Amino acid sequence: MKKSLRSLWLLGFAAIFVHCDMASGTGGRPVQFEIQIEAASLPESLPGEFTTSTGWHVKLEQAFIAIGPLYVYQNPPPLAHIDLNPQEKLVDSFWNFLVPSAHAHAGDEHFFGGEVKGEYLGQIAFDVLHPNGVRLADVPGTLGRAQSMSLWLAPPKTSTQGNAAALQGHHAHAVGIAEKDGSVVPFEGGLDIENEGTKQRVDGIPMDIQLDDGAVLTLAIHPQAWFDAAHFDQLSEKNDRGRFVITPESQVRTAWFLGARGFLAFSVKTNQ
Amino acid sequence: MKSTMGFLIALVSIFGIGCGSETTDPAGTGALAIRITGEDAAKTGFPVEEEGESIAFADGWTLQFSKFLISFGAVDVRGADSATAVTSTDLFVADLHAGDASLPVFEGLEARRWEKFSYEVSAPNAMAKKLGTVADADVQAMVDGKFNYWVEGTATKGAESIGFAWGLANPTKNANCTNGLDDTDGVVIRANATTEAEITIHVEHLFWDSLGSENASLRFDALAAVAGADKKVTTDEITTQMLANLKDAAGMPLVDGAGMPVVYNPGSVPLKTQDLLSFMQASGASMAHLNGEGLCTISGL
Repeated sequence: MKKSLRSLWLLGFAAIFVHCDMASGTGGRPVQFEIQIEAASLPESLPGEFTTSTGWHVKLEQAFIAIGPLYVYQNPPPLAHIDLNPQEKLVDSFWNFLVPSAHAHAGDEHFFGGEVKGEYLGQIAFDVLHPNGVRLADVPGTLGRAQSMSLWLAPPKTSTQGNAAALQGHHAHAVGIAEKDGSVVPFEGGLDIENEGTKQRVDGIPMDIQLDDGAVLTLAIHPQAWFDAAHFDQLSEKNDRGRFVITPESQVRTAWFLGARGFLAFSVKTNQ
Repeated sequence: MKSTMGFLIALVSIFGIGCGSETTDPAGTGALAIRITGEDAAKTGFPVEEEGESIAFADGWTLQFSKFLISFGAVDVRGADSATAVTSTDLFVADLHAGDASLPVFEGLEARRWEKFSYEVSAPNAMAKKLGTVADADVQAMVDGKFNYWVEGTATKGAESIGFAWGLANPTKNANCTNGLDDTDGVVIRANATTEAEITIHVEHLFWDSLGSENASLRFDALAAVAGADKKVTTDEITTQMLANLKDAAGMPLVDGAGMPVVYNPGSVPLKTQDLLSFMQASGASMAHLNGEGLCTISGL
């Protein structure tokens, strides 16, 4: 059913969102806006320092992630009407978020962003411990309201901006120390995300901006989401630097995979 | 699905296809007959053949339902011009394992396209009406537990059998449904004829291991692992399976046939809690469609 009907879904989307008598929606004048990227840190905490819901206090000593391309969409994510601050309230809003409202299907292509209002087609190896964030690019777009961002977590390429070598070939790479009840676990490892379905894509990061010349979008990465469900004491393999390795079969890797792509891993700020 | 194809093909012949080409027939009225089905999967379980493709559990389980109760209703059918055809508050309970069920026919509807077809999947109230053979005690259990689904059955792998009995509270409003036959909006009522519409429940969503991806597999290992000594898995037991730390029956990390961790992948869809029951409720909230594959705008109730 699933694959054979993908075209049907897409046709359905077309029927739903592109009514015959609907204006094309692409008539906005060209504008130039800016995309920045930064790491979010918790109040009164250093970047990359946080306590997980599993009780581990984590200090990241090095953390990089390959981000991009980025797409800015006209349509909001289905949960945008609930709360534009996902870090605080969304998890309390049970069924309102459940299924993407754009004729959603939780187990299939589920996000329909509508018109792409702007896009950054490059990729950056972002230093998640960077204290100030970076200006990514000036991006051409079209005038009008934009309500969501989608991004790809693709493996690094030769054209990747930033310190791509720090990724060591992974989508993300982290080095740090986790402490809990007297246990100290120095760890390091890389995250690789399979190119299956939509695994390398994060859709529907909520935002709301009237795109125009001078608009600024800042993508914030929340590294505290990466290891929130991690049990560092389950790491068992040490490398020659004395650090426990986040292996592909480890629980910490599963937690990282879920957290790095999860709803709480990203947010977008604007200058409006 | 397969069993409904004749019905669907017949509907194609009576539904108008196109966008903006429908015209109102002010001279006539017609009727709307709505039925609900869980397709062959609700009746015979998994694996099941669907359009020549076998839908089966990736981890080797077979599964049969003994009950698949759904509470639904509040059918609302309107035009894009806000004209109203049906505004019902009635809720119904049907057992999709026992067979398809039909609602009372809505008569005297203006013959035209009604673009906005909506309904609810929500827990029954005291006034809910039973469709077909449904035990009063089951309806009362759904009322008391505020469950919109009640599912019972048995899963089997080799010599192991695991029973399950789950009440699910994931109520939704399914609005502005696309017609799965032709991807147009809603339904068309023909003059002096009865239009049939089908609320189609894709029961396999309950067992998917991925949200937001078209590559979902059906899995039961994580559910079987928490069944306990009585070999019956309850919803409370399912909440003990944390998505980032799935365990097998021995308390060891749950792995697949290749020795890699089993991962239920919610993607960027937020869940209430990070356990398997929340995942199943999220996945199961999108089971209901219109005429096969027709998607609806689904929002929580």
